[in-house]
Amino acid sequence: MSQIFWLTLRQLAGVRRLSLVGLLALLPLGLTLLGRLLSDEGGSVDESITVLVDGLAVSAVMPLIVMSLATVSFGSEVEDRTLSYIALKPVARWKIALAKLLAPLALAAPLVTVSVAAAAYIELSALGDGAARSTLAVAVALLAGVFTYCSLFTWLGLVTSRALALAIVYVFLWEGLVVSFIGGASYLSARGYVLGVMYGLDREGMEALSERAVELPAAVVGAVVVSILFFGLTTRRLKTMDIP
Amino acid sequence: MSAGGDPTISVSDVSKWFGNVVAVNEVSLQVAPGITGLLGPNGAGKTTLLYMIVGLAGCSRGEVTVLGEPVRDNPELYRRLGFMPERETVYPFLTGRELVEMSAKLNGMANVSDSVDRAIAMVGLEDAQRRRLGAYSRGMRQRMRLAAALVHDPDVIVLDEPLNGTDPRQRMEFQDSMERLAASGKTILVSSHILEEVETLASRILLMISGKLAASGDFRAIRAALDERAYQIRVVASEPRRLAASILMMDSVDSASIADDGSLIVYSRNVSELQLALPRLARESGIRLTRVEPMDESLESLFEYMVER
Repeated sequence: MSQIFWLTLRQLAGVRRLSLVGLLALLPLGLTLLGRLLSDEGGSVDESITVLVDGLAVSAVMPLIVMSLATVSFGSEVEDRTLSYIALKPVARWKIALAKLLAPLALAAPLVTVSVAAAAYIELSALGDGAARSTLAVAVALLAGVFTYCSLFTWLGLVTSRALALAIVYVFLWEGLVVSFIGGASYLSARGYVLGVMYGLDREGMEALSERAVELPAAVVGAVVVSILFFGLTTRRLKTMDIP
Repeated sequence: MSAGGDPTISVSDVSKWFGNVVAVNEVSLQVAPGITGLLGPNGAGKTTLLYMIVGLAGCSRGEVTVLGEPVRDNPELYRRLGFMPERETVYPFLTGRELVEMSAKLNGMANVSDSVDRAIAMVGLEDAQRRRLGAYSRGMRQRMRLAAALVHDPDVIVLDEPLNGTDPRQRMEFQDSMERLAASGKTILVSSHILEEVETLASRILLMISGKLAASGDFRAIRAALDERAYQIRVVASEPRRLAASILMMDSVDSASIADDGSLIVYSRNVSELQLALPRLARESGIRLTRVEPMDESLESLFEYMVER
């Protein structure tokens, strides 16, 4: 399995792709530092959480980074028809699926978590001792979000050649629009799970999310179920599809 | 059936369709140890059939077994199976050696380094093994892919158009390698759309056309059957009707006709005799020959003839 993991990592680690996701990952931190440079006083904590964490990091930066990596995990091999090199090997299909899931996760998780957590720490420093706790909540929730999106988008890259376009439509239409305006939709939303974990781990610091976040158990169960579901679908697809 | 021992590949009433298009139509065949050629024109369904034989594609109907086991969704069986697809795409960022190493490790081999050395030596690419595959020529990629397909010493070897992009010397080396493997009891199924390519490689062939198995068996018997047919030759001459009258006197000519464009179409079972006689006849009759060309030397027409018989 490690062979497939390293192979996929090398596939994903093209200079252009890494530059793009690196720039995206630096966006929250860069904007925070720029804001600090231009104004001595930062915004309120609630405003920072709403705009930086939810509005920018959770709704845009995280899914964009994950989709640009995870959809390629299988997608590039399906497109250039090299998947048979690994599919025709005595390796259990779930191991192939797991390696293909872990490779984009290994790249996306540190990129997203470190940048956004650093930006959040700067913005939430007004909370004093609570800033570290809130930052930890942000980091843990982002990890859960990256994992959930990785599982979903890795599957999408295996089932369609238009995975990236569909992922963009899904993120901005469902996760962005529908979840923002229909409260119950958060229970079927990766963004809802991320906000739920954040709020559940630090209710005091993340008060601004109280109206949008689902309960912590629902968020954890939702993220786990979605991740396992799409991992299972990926494994099943590998077993049943005609390998190009 | 392709005989030569107990069959290791068994295809039973297999069909494959994509929507309304039938790619493989009710094919049944068996392949035994030794070299068997799968011959057919482009689009005949060879690649689809090979993909079903190695389990990369499912059958719409029927069943494929390899070494007595169903091949589809049976990863453990892949340890005994080597496949080289026709497409030349590779991971361009890997070196040739890394591709072969990856294949060996994924096949669970214990002594990877020695096996990789052996496989690369077999295809004669020791000097290029540390170069990235993206910088390889087409022929080099083919050979390194062959090394990756054979590194784990599989019992059943399936190669889809393996000689594409290779030069005559490489073809001879490939033939030698395959003959050695066949002599050691391996089952080798090689596809090609080039008649001569298979003729030198395999004594047993399977002929496919339009998704169907048109013929199977000993190559020489099939070739003899092919030679019974009358070939069509187009002759462009200054006076085609007068030339036709002279040609029809020859025993080797079955018939002749004038085409719409004024050229003479000759049907002959002995093309070599006709080729020798034509210039002489033209010279004696004072007719100027502009062009003499075969009309149906393509595999498609030969296969169509086989199907019609």
